[in-house]
Amino acid sequence: MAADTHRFASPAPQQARDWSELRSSLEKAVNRVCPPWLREAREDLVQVALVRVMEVERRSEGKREFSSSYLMKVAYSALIDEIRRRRRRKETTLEDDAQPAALEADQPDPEHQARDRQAGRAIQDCLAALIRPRRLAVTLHLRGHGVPEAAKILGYGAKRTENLTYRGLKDLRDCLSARGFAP
Amino acid sequence: MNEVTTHRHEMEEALVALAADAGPGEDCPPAEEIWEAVRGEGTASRRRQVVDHMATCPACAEAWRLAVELTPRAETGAVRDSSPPVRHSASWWPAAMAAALLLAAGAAFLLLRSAPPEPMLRGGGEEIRSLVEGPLPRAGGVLLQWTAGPEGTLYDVVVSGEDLEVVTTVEGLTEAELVLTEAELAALPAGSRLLWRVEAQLPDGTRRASPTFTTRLE
Repeated sequence: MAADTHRFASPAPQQARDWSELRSSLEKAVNRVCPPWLREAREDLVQVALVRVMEVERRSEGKREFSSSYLMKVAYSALIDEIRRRRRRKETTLEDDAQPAALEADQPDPEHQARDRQAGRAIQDCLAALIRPRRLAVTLHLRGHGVPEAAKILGYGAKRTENLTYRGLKDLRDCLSARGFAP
Repeated sequence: MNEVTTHRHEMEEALVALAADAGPGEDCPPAEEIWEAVRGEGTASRRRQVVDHMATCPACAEAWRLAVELTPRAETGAVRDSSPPVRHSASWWPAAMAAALLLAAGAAFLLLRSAPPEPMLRGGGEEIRSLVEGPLPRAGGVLLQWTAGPEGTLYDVVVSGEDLEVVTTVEGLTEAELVLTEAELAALPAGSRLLWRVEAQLPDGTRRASPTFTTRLE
Protein backbone atom coordinates (compact mmCIF):
# COMPACT_ATOMS: atom_id res chain seq x y z
CA MET A 1 0.00 0.00 0.00
CA ALA A 2 2.72 2.42 1.01
CA ALA A 3 4.57 1.72 -2.23
CA ASP A 4 1.40 2.35 -4.26
CA THR A 5 0.75 5.58 -2.36
CA HIS A 6 4.34 6.66 -3.03
CA ARG A 7 3.99 5.84 -6.70
CA PHE A 8 0.91 7.95 -7.16
CA ALA A 9 2.38 10.76 -5.12
CA SER A 10 4.48 11.69 -8.18
CA PRO A 11 2.95 14.17 -10.64
CA ALA A 12 0.31 11.91 -12.16
CA PRO A 13 -1.30 14.55 -14.46
CA GLN A 14 2.05 15.13 -16.24
CA GLN A 15 2.54 11.39 -16.67
CA ALA A 16 -1.01 11.08 -18.05
CA ARG A 17 -0.20 13.72 -20.70
CA ASP A 18 2.96 11.87 -21.66
CA TRP A 19 1.06 8.65 -22.28
CA SER A 20 -1.45 10.51 -24.42
CA GLU A 21 1.26 12.13 -26.53
CA LEU A 22 3.22 8.93 -26.73
CA ARG A 23 0.14 6.98 -27.75
CA SER A 24 -0.67 9.57 -30.41
CA SER A 25 2.86 9.44 -31.87
CA LEU A 26 2.86 5.66 -31.91
CA GLU A 27 -0.55 5.51 -33.54
CA LYS A 28 0.47 7.91 -36.31
CA ALA A 29 3.69 6.05 -37.02
CA VAL A 30 2.04 2.63 -36.99
CA ASN A 31 -0.78 3.87 -39.24
CA ARG A 32 1.74 5.11 -41.78
CA VAL A 33 4.07 2.15 -41.75
CA CYS A 34 1.96 -0.83 -40.73
CA PRO A 35 1.87 -3.45 -43.50
CA PRO A 36 -1.58 -4.48 -44.76
CA TRP A 37 -1.53 -7.85 -43.04
CA LEU A 38 -1.07 -6.14 -39.67
CA ARG A 39 -3.71 -3.43 -40.16
CA GLU A 40 -6.24 -5.08 -37.88
CA ALA A 41 -3.60 -5.43 -35.17
CA ARG A 42 -2.60 -1.77 -35.09
CA GLU A 43 -4.36 -1.09 -31.79
CA ASP A 44 -2.76 -4.18 -30.25
CA LEU A 45 0.68 -3.12 -31.44
CA VAL A 46 0.36 0.30 -29.88
CA GLN A 47 -1.06 -1.16 -26.69
CA VAL A 48 1.82 -3.65 -26.34
CA ALA A 49 4.32 -0.83 -26.75
CA LEU A 50 2.58 1.33 -24.16
CA VAL A 51 2.35 -1.52 -21.68
CA ARG A 52 6.10 -2.04 -21.91
CA VAL A 53 6.76 1.64 -21.34
CA MET A 54 4.46 1.71 -18.35
CA GLU A 55 6.13 -1.40 -16.99
CA VAL A 56 9.52 0.30 -17.17
CA GLU A 57 8.11 3.27 -15.35
CA ARG A 58 6.42 1.08 -12.76
CA ARG A 59 9.61 -0.84 -12.04
CA SER A 60 11.39 2.38 -11.26
CA GLU A 61 8.66 3.01 -8.66
CA GLY A 62 8.54 6.63 -9.65
CA LYS A 63 12.09 7.21 -8.45
CA ARG A 64 13.42 7.95 -11.89
CA GLU A 65 12.22 10.44 -14.41
CA PHE A 66 12.39 9.26 -17.99
CA SER A 67 12.94 11.55 -20.92
CA SER A 68 10.36 11.47 -23.67
CA SER A 69 12.99 10.23 -26.11
CA TYR A 70 13.84 7.32 -23.83
CA LEU A 71 10.18 6.41 -23.50
CA MET A 72 9.81 6.57 -27.25
CA LYS A 73 12.80 4.27 -27.67
CA VAL A 74 11.29 1.73 -25.28
CA ALA A 75 7.96 1.92 -27.09
CA TYR A 76 9.65 1.53 -30.45
CA SER A 77 11.58 -1.54 -29.31
CA ALA A 78 8.41 -3.11 -27.99
CA LEU A 79 6.65 -2.36 -31.25
CA ILE A 80 9.36 -3.95 -33.37
CA ASP A 81 9.64 -6.97 -31.10
CA GLU A 82 5.88 -7.49 -31.36
CA ILE A 83 5.89 -7.10 -35.16
CA ARG A 84 8.74 -9.59 -35.40
CA ARG A 85 6.93 -12.01 -33.13
CA ARG A 86 3.81 -11.79 -35.28
CA ARG A 87 5.84 -12.25 -38.47
CA ARG A 88 7.39 -15.43 -37.10
CA ARG A 89 3.95 -16.62 -36.07
CA LYS A 90 2.57 -15.81 -39.53
CA GLU A 91 5.31 -17.85 -41.11
CA THR A 92 4.91 -20.92 -38.93
CA THR A 93 1.18 -21.25 -38.26
CA LEU A 94 -1.98 -21.50 -40.28
CA GLU A 95 -4.20 -19.77 -37.74
CA ASP A 96 -6.88 -17.55 -39.19
CA ASP A 97 -5.69 -14.45 -37.40
CA ALA A 98 -2.18 -14.93 -38.80
CA GLN A 99 -3.43 -14.73 -42.36
CA PRO A 100 -2.92 -11.52 -44.34
CA ALA A 101 -5.74 -9.06 -43.93
CA ALA A 102 -8.35 -8.98 -46.66
CA LEU A 103 -7.59 -6.62 -49.51
CA GLU A 104 -8.94 -3.18 -48.66
CA ALA A 105 -10.46 -0.82 -51.14
CA ASP A 106 -7.54 1.56 -51.06
CA GLN A 107 -4.87 -1.12 -51.50
CA PRO A 108 -3.12 -1.83 -54.81
CA ASP A 109 -4.60 -4.73 -56.72
CA PRO A 110 -2.74 -8.06 -56.57
CA GLU A 111 -1.25 -7.56 -60.01
CA HIS A 112 0.14 -4.19 -58.99
CA GLN A 113 1.47 -5.71 -55.78
CA ALA A 114 3.13 -8.51 -57.70
CA ARG A 115 4.81 -6.00 -60.02
CA ASP A 116 5.96 -3.99 -57.04
CA ARG A 117 7.43 -7.08 -55.42
CA GLN A 118 9.19 -8.05 -58.63
CA ALA A 119 10.67 -4.59 -58.90
CA GLY A 120 11.54 -4.64 -55.22
CA ARG A 121 13.45 -7.90 -55.57
CA ALA A 122 15.34 -6.55 -58.55
CA ILE A 123 16.27 -3.41 -56.64
CA GLN A 124 17.32 -5.47 -53.64
CA ASP A 125 19.48 -7.78 -55.76
CA CYS A 126 21.11 -4.83 -57.48
CA LEU A 127 21.75 -3.13 -54.13
CA ALA A 128 23.48 -6.28 -52.90
CA ALA A 129 25.75 -6.15 -55.94
CA LEU A 130 26.97 -2.61 -55.28
CA ILE A 131 30.28 -2.06 -53.55
CA ARG A 132 29.58 -1.54 -49.87
CA PRO A 133 30.10 2.21 -49.45
CA ARG A 134 27.85 2.95 -52.44
CA ARG A 135 25.29 0.44 -51.23
CA LEU A 136 25.12 2.19 -47.86
CA ALA A 137 24.69 5.64 -49.40
CA VAL A 138 22.08 4.50 -51.93
CA THR A 139 20.15 2.54 -49.31
CA LEU A 140 19.77 5.65 -47.20
CA HIS A 141 18.90 7.69 -50.27
CA LEU A 142 16.13 5.24 -51.13
CA ARG A 143 14.87 5.52 -47.56
CA GLY A 144 14.40 9.24 -48.07
CA HIS A 145 17.50 10.56 -46.33
CA GLY A 146 19.21 13.59 -47.78
CA VAL A 147 22.98 13.82 -48.12
CA PRO A 148 23.59 15.56 -44.75
CA GLU A 149 21.51 13.01 -42.86
CA ALA A 150 23.13 10.09 -44.65
CA ALA A 151 26.59 11.51 -44.01
CA LYS A 152 25.85 11.78 -40.30
CA ILE A 153 24.46 8.26 -40.08
CA LEU A 154 27.34 6.73 -42.02
CA GLY A 155 30.05 8.83 -40.41
CA TYR A 156 31.32 9.95 -43.82
CA GLY A 157 31.98 13.46 -45.05
CA ALA A 158 29.18 15.16 -46.95
CA LYS A 159 31.13 15.34 -50.19
CA ARG A 160 32.06 11.69 -50.04
CA THR A 161 28.46 10.73 -49.29
CA GLU A 162 27.25 12.82 -52.20
CA ASN A 163 29.69 11.11 -54.58
CA LEU A 164 28.81 7.66 -53.27
CA THR A 165 25.12 8.38 -53.75
CA TYR A 166 25.59 9.68 -57.27
CA ARG A 167 27.82 6.82 -58.40
CA GLY A 168 25.78 4.24 -56.54
CA LEU A 169 22.54 5.36 -58.17
CA LYS A 170 24.22 5.11 -61.57
CA ASP A 171 25.38 1.59 -60.78
CA LEU A 172 21.88 0.75 -59.57
CA ARG A 173 20.30 2.12 -62.72
CA ASP A 174 22.72 0.17 -64.92
CA CYS A 175 22.00 -3.00 -63.00
CA LEU A 176 18.25 -2.51 -63.22
CA SER A 177 18.55 -1.81 -66.95
CA ALA A 178 20.44 -5.05 -67.43
CA ARG A 179 17.57 -6.84 -65.70
CA GLY A 180 14.96 -5.23 -67.88
CA PHE A 181 13.89 -2.44 -65.56
CA ALA A 182 14.69 0.50 -67.80
CA PRO A 183 12.88 3.10 -69.89
CA MET B 1 10.58 -3.95 -71.12
CA ASN B 2 9.49 -3.03 -67.57
CA GLU B 3 8.56 0.47 -66.50
CA VAL B 4 11.18 2.84 -65.19
CA THR B 5 11.60 2.18 -61.52
CA THR B 6 14.43 4.54 -60.81
CA HIS B 7 12.19 7.12 -59.21
CA ARG B 8 13.08 7.19 -55.53
CA HIS B 9 9.54 7.21 -54.26
CA GLU B 10 8.53 4.38 -56.56
CA MET B 11 11.62 2.39 -55.68
CA GLU B 12 10.81 2.85 -52.03
CA GLU B 13 7.28 1.58 -52.66
CA ALA B 14 8.68 -1.43 -54.49
CA LEU B 15 10.96 -2.18 -51.55
CA VAL B 16 8.10 -1.68 -49.08
CA ALA B 17 6.06 -4.24 -51.04
CA LEU B 18 8.67 -6.85 -50.16
CA ALA B 19 8.13 -6.32 -46.45
CA ALA B 20 4.64 -7.81 -46.65
CA ASP B 21 6.06 -11.33 -46.91
CA ALA B 22 9.31 -10.79 -45.09
CA GLY B 23 10.08 -12.43 -41.81
CA PRO B 24 12.83 -11.47 -39.37
CA GLY B 25 16.14 -13.20 -40.09
CA GLU B 26 18.61 -14.72 -37.72
CA ASP B 27 20.99 -11.79 -38.00
CA CYS B 28 18.52 -8.93 -37.67
CA PRO B 29 19.90 -6.33 -35.28
CA PRO B 30 18.08 -5.55 -32.03
CA ALA B 31 15.43 -2.86 -32.39
CA GLU B 32 17.46 -0.52 -30.17
CA GLU B 33 20.34 -0.56 -32.65
CA ILE B 34 18.07 0.40 -35.53
CA TRP B 35 16.68 3.22 -33.40
CA GLU B 36 20.14 4.48 -32.53
CA ALA B 37 21.37 4.25 -36.11
CA VAL B 38 18.49 6.38 -37.39
CA ARG B 39 19.39 9.03 -34.84
CA GLY B 40 23.11 8.90 -35.57
CA GLU B 41 23.90 7.45 -32.16
CA GLY B 42 26.28 4.61 -31.32
CA THR B 43 29.44 3.95 -33.31
CA ALA B 44 29.68 4.74 -37.02
CA SER B 45 30.84 1.18 -37.68
CA ARG B 46 27.74 -0.28 -36.04
CA ARG B 47 25.45 2.16 -37.83
CA ARG B 48 26.93 1.11 -41.17
CA GLN B 49 26.35 -2.53 -40.29
CA VAL B 50 22.70 -1.76 -39.55
CA VAL B 51 22.28 0.12 -42.84
CA ASP B 52 24.05 -2.65 -44.75
CA HIS B 53 21.71 -5.21 -43.23
CA MET B 54 18.69 -3.07 -43.98
CA ALA B 55 19.67 -2.92 -47.68
CA THR B 56 18.64 -6.54 -48.14
CA CYS B 57 16.25 -7.16 -45.25
CA PRO B 58 12.74 -5.83 -46.00
CA ALA B 59 11.57 -6.45 -42.44
CA CYS B 60 14.39 -4.34 -40.98
CA ALA B 61 13.84 -1.71 -43.65
CA GLU B 62 10.29 -1.47 -42.37
CA ALA B 63 11.62 -1.16 -38.82
CA TRP B 64 13.90 1.62 -40.07
CA ARG B 65 10.94 3.47 -41.57
CA LEU B 66 9.10 3.23 -38.25
CA ALA B 67 12.08 4.66 -36.42
CA VAL B 68 12.28 7.53 -38.89
CA GLU B 69 8.57 8.23 -38.44
CA LEU B 70 9.00 8.36 -34.68
CA THR B 71 12.14 10.50 -34.67
CA PRO B 72 11.74 14.27 -34.86
CA ARG B 73 13.76 15.68 -37.70
CA ALA B 74 16.12 17.68 -35.49
CA GLU B 75 17.23 14.54 -33.70
CA THR B 76 18.46 12.89 -36.88
CA GLY B 77 21.07 15.63 -37.04
CA ALA B 78 19.87 16.81 -40.44
CA VAL B 79 21.95 19.82 -41.38
CA ARG B 80 19.04 21.48 -43.09
CA ASP B 81 17.35 22.12 -39.76
CA SER B 82 19.69 24.96 -39.01
CA SER B 83 21.23 25.76 -42.36
CA PRO B 84 19.83 27.86 -45.17
CA PRO B 85 18.30 25.91 -48.02
CA VAL B 86 20.87 23.95 -49.98
CA ARG B 87 20.84 24.59 -53.67
CA HIS B 88 22.54 22.16 -56.02
CA SER B 89 23.75 22.84 -59.50
CA ALA B 90 22.02 20.82 -62.19
CA SER B 91 25.12 18.68 -62.81
CA TRP B 92 25.03 17.22 -59.28
CA TRP B 93 21.61 15.61 -59.57
CA PRO B 94 21.89 11.96 -60.65
CA ALA B 95 20.65 11.40 -64.16
CA ALA B 96 18.50 8.60 -62.78
CA MET B 97 16.42 11.11 -60.84
CA ALA B 98 15.93 13.26 -63.93
CA ALA B 99 14.89 10.18 -65.87
CA ALA B 100 12.56 9.27 -63.04
CA LEU B 101 10.59 12.45 -63.57
CA LEU B 102 9.78 11.16 -67.04
CA LEU B 103 7.75 8.31 -65.63
CA ALA B 104 5.87 10.44 -63.16
CA ALA B 105 5.27 13.21 -65.66
CA GLY B 106 4.39 11.00 -68.60
CA ALA B 107 0.70 11.14 -67.78
CA ALA B 108 0.97 14.87 -67.25
CA PHE B 109 2.05 15.40 -70.86
CA LEU B 110 -0.94 13.43 -72.08
CA LEU B 111 -3.25 15.38 -69.81
CA LEU B 112 -1.86 18.74 -70.85
CA ARG B 113 -2.23 18.04 -74.52
CA SER B 114 -5.93 17.48 -74.09
CA ALA B 115 -6.91 19.56 -71.06
CA PRO B 116 -6.20 23.00 -69.62
CA PRO B 117 -3.30 23.06 -67.17
CA GLU B 118 -4.30 22.63 -63.58
CA PRO B 119 -2.70 21.30 -60.43
CA MET B 120 -2.31 17.53 -60.53
CA LEU B 121 -4.20 15.80 -57.79
CA ARG B 122 -4.12 12.27 -56.54
CA GLY B 123 -6.77 10.86 -54.22
CA GLY B 124 -8.02 12.60 -51.09
CA GLY B 125 -6.06 13.22 -47.94
CA GLU B 126 -3.15 15.47 -47.18
CA GLU B 127 -1.91 15.95 -50.71
CA ILE B 128 0.51 18.63 -51.78
CA ARG B 129 -1.06 20.67 -54.55
CA SER B 130 0.42 23.19 -56.91
CA LEU B 131 -0.89 26.75 -56.57
CA VAL B 132 0.61 27.83 -59.86
CA GLU B 133 -1.45 28.82 -62.84
CA GLY B 134 0.58 29.10 -66.00
CA PRO B 135 1.84 30.11 -68.36
CA LEU B 136 4.26 32.16 -66.30
CA PRO B 137 6.32 35.12 -67.45
CA ARG B 138 10.05 34.92 -66.84
CA ALA B 139 10.74 38.56 -66.20
CA GLY B 140 11.78 38.98 -62.60
CA GLY B 141 11.89 35.26 -62.04
CA VAL B 142 9.27 32.53 -61.80
CA LEU B 143 7.49 31.88 -58.53
CA LEU B 144 6.45 28.29 -57.81
CA GLN B 145 4.04 27.83 -54.92
CA TRP B 146 2.29 24.88 -53.39
CA THR B 147 -0.05 24.09 -50.50
CA ALA B 148 1.76 24.53 -47.23
CA GLY B 149 2.01 22.03 -44.42
CA PRO B 150 1.88 22.85 -40.71
CA GLU B 151 4.36 25.33 -39.28
CA GLY B 152 7.80 23.81 -39.14
CA THR B 153 7.45 21.84 -42.36
CA LEU B 154 10.52 21.78 -44.60
CA TYR B 155 10.42 21.29 -48.36
CA ASP B 156 12.74 19.83 -50.97
CA VAL B 157 12.05 20.72 -54.59
CA VAL B 158 13.39 19.34 -57.87
CA VAL B 159 12.79 21.32 -61.06
CA SER B 160 13.64 20.17 -64.56
CA GLY B 161 12.82 21.09 -68.13
CA GLU B 162 10.88 19.00 -70.61
CA ASP B 163 14.12 17.32 -71.64
CA LEU B 164 14.54 16.22 -68.02
CA GLU B 165 17.69 18.28 -67.62
CA VAL B 166 17.59 19.45 -64.04
CA VAL B 167 17.21 23.19 -63.65
CA THR B 168 17.70 23.25 -59.92
CA THR B 169 17.21 21.28 -56.74
CA VAL B 170 16.67 22.91 -53.40
CA GLU B 171 16.54 21.34 -49.95
CA GLY B 172 15.29 22.64 -46.68
CA LEU B 173 12.94 25.41 -47.75
CA THR B 174 10.91 26.77 -44.86
CA GLU B 175 8.24 28.41 -47.03
CA ALA B 176 5.99 26.70 -49.56
CA GLU B 177 7.43 28.59 -52.48
CA LEU B 178 10.48 28.75 -54.69
CA VAL B 179 11.67 31.51 -56.98
CA LEU B 180 13.47 30.44 -60.13
CA THR B 181 15.75 33.17 -61.41
CA GLU B 182 15.92 34.31 -65.00
CA ALA B 183 19.46 33.00 -65.12
CA GLU B 184 18.31 29.52 -64.13
CA LEU B 185 15.64 29.59 -66.84
CA ALA B 186 17.78 31.12 -69.55
CA ALA B 187 18.48 27.81 -71.29
CA LEU B 188 14.81 26.91 -71.58
CA PRO B 189 13.07 27.85 -74.83
CA ALA B 190 9.96 30.00 -74.85
CA GLY B 191 6.78 28.06 -74.31
CA SER B 192 8.53 25.11 -72.73
CA ARG B 193 7.30 23.37 -69.60
CA LEU B 194 8.82 23.01 -66.20
CA LEU B 195 8.47 19.71 -64.38
CA TRP B 196 8.69 20.10 -60.65
CA ARG B 197 8.11 17.97 -57.58
CA VAL B 198 7.93 18.75 -53.88
CA GLU B 199 8.82 16.55 -50.94
CA ALA B 200 7.70 17.82 -47.54
CA GLN B 201 9.10 16.82 -44.18
CA LEU B 202 6.45 17.49 -41.55
CA PRO B 203 7.32 18.53 -37.99
CA ASP B 204 6.38 15.08 -36.68
CA GLY B 205 8.99 13.54 -38.96
CA THR B 206 6.62 12.14 -41.56
CA ARG B 207 7.21 12.81 -45.24
CA ARG B 208 4.87 13.64 -48.09
CA ALA B 209 5.70 13.63 -51.77
CA SER B 210 3.73 15.53 -54.35
CA PRO B 211 2.90 14.39 -57.85
CA THR B 212 5.10 15.91 -60.55
CA PHE B 213 3.63 19.28 -61.52
CA THR B 214 3.97 20.87 -64.92
CA THR B 215 4.03 24.60 -65.51
CA ARG B 216 4.40 26.30 -68.86
CA LEU B 217 6.71 29.24 -69.34
CA GLU B 218 5.86 32.13 -71.61
